[in-house]
Amino acid sequence: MRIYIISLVFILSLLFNNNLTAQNSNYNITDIEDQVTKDITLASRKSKLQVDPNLLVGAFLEKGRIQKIQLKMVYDSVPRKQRIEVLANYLKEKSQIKELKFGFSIDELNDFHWAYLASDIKFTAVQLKSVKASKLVKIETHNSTYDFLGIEKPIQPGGPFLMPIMPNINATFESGVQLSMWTGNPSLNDLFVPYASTKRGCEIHIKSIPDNATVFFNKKKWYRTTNTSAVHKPGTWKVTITLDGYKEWSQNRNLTPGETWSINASLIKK
Amino acid sequence: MGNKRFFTVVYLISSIILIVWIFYSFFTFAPGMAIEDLSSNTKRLATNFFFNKMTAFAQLSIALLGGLWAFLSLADTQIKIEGWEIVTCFGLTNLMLGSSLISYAWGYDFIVERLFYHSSFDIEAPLVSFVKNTQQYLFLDGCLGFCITIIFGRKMT
Repeated sequence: MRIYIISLVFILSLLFNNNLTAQNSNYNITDIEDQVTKDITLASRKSKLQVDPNLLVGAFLEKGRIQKIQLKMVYDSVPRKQRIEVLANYLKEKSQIKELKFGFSIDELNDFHWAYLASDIKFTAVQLKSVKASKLVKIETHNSTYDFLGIEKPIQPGGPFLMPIMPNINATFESGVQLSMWTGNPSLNDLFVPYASTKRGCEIHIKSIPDNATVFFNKKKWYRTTNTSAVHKPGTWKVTITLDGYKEWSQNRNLTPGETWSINASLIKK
Repeated sequence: MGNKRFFTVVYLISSIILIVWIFYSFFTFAPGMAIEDLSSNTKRLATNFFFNKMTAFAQLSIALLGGLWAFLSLADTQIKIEGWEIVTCFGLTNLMLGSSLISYAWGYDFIVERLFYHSSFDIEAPLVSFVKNTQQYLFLDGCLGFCITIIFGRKMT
């Protein structure tokens, strides 16, 4: 009798698991986009709570494990080739919206580091992290503050700069919403969904023109020349690229676990 | 008696040099690891060999530590931990083998995390070399201390 009960429970658990998998694999990028539009509109109407976006990123790091696993499952359910194409087009579209609002050219936007924030499977905001971005915003707006979620915030050079994906909507988040972060460079079609763990390192991909340049991470010489990639501990990293006969290239950035920083440095002759 | 003191002092100095070198290396090497594509079978095999070697050293370190403590805890052994020279060697050997194990545990976990989350392992990375060298040199230094403890700790009666 016991054996029958155990077998029954085992079969039921298998069926239940299969059901879950089947449900998850039904998602695709188009569904996600439709859901995004609906949810952002709904959220803007509700306008329940205004939250510091930096705190949301922190909350994502601490609590976003389950959501990120779900997001990863949805992401994995879409064929790789298809998802890169669809996401790249999607993000290029969004870039053009920024161009209208902030006066960035499409090339300038593509050179930035992008982090796409999403609540579960819903895109909500895009994050730019770049000294160049901060400077450009200052020049374009003649103002050292920006408005997001109704909070006026100063722009820190080199610090994170968050803006909503859709400029007409003041995106708001309900209490307890957990975020996931996608990083990548639209111009390279290089998109990345980090898996849930604070144990992850951060990845720095460095390309230089011309290549074979020496790289320094926080003033320590890297054992390989460009083009190269590195995994480091999360934190603030200063990357310096030097090559004889060319001016030194240098930038620093604070990287969180799982973040990717793609550098395309065009070295200028002395 | 003179030999015992000479070897103990030499061992003490070599251990101090080793510890200073480890600290110097730790604060000077470029951290991080280059992202290597591990899809080729040769690279996977090399990675396996690397981990197997680290594990073999760690197992030997545990065995040596066990043997060392047997001298102290068992009553009827031929080796006696007596006199400042042997006590120093015994203590240093424990320190070296223990540090080798700590280096193994930390390095192994760290490298496995990098493999798991970033699908990457670069055998040339200064970080990997540091972990590998630290574990091996501490282990060898521990072996040296183990030998000196046995040779000079024997009962001469």
